[in-house]
Amino acid sequence: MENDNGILAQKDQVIEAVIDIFVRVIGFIERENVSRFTNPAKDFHIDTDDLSLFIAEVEKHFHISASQSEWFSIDGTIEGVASIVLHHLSK
Amino acid sequence: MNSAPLSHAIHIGIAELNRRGTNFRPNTSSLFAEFSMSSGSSGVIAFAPENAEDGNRQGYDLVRLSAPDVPNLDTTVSDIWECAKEHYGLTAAAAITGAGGIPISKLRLGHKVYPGSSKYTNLVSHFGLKFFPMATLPHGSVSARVAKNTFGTIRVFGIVGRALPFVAVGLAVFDAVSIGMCAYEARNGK
Repeated sequence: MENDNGILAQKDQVIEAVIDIFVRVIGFIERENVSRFTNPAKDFHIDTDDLSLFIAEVEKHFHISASQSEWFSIDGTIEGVASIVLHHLSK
Repeated sequence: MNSAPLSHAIHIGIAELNRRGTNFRPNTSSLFAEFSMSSGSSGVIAFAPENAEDGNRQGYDLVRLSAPDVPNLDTTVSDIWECAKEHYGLTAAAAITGAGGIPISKLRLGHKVYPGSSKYTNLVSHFGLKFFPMATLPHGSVSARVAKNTFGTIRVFGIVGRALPFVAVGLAVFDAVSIGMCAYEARNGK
C-alpha cells in the first residue's frame, strides 16, 4: 500500500513537472488551463513544432530519450507524456 | 558566396514582401542603420507592423537574437556555402524567396513528433528549434497576440517559417547565420 502511494505521489510530481514544462515552452497558455487530461495537440491551437520542442524539453529535463514509436503509442494527454517519463525513470 | 550587401538584401526583402501581398514601405535608411548596429546579435528580424494594411507602413518591429550556444566556426565562407548547398540543396535566392518554408520531415531533421500533430516542419523553423528554441516575441505584445491567434506560436522562427510574407525583411541576415549553423552541424556530424 505504501509502495502504491509512493508510485502515485511520484506520478503526480511528474505530471506537475510536465505541465510546468509545457506552460514554459508554449509561452502563451495559462497553467490553470492545463490538467493531466489536457491533450495539447487537440485542445489548443499550437504550432506542431512547439510540441516537438515540448517533447525535447521533457526529455532534457528528465534525462531520458524515448523513441518516436513510444511517443506515438500514447494518447497525447499530459498524463500520457508522464507515463513515458515514468517508464524510463523506472528502468 | 552568393550574398548581397546588406542594403541590397533589405531592398530585396521589402520587394519580396510587397510582391507577396504585404503592403510594406518601411524607412529603409533607418532599417539599414538598425541592422548595421546589430553586430552584437547573431540575427535580426524586422517585422511588418500589424496594421501595415491600414496605412501604417513606415514602421517596423525589430527582434534581435542573442548569440546561439555554438563555438566559433573555424571554416571559410565558401566552405560554409558549399556545405549549405550540399546539405540542404539551397541557393541564396531560393532561401530568400521561400525554400525555407518547404515542408520537410521532422524525423529526418532529428525532431520528434508529438502524437496527433504534423510530421513536417520547414527549414526556418528547424533552425529556430535547433539554435533559438526560446526566442519568442515579447509576452503580452500586440505581435505576440496576433502570432498566437494566427500561427499558434510566439517563437520567432516558428512565425517566420509559417508566414514568410508576414515578416522576414531580415531573412537575408538570418540566412547568413543559418548557413553558418549548417556548417557547424555538418562538421559535428549532427
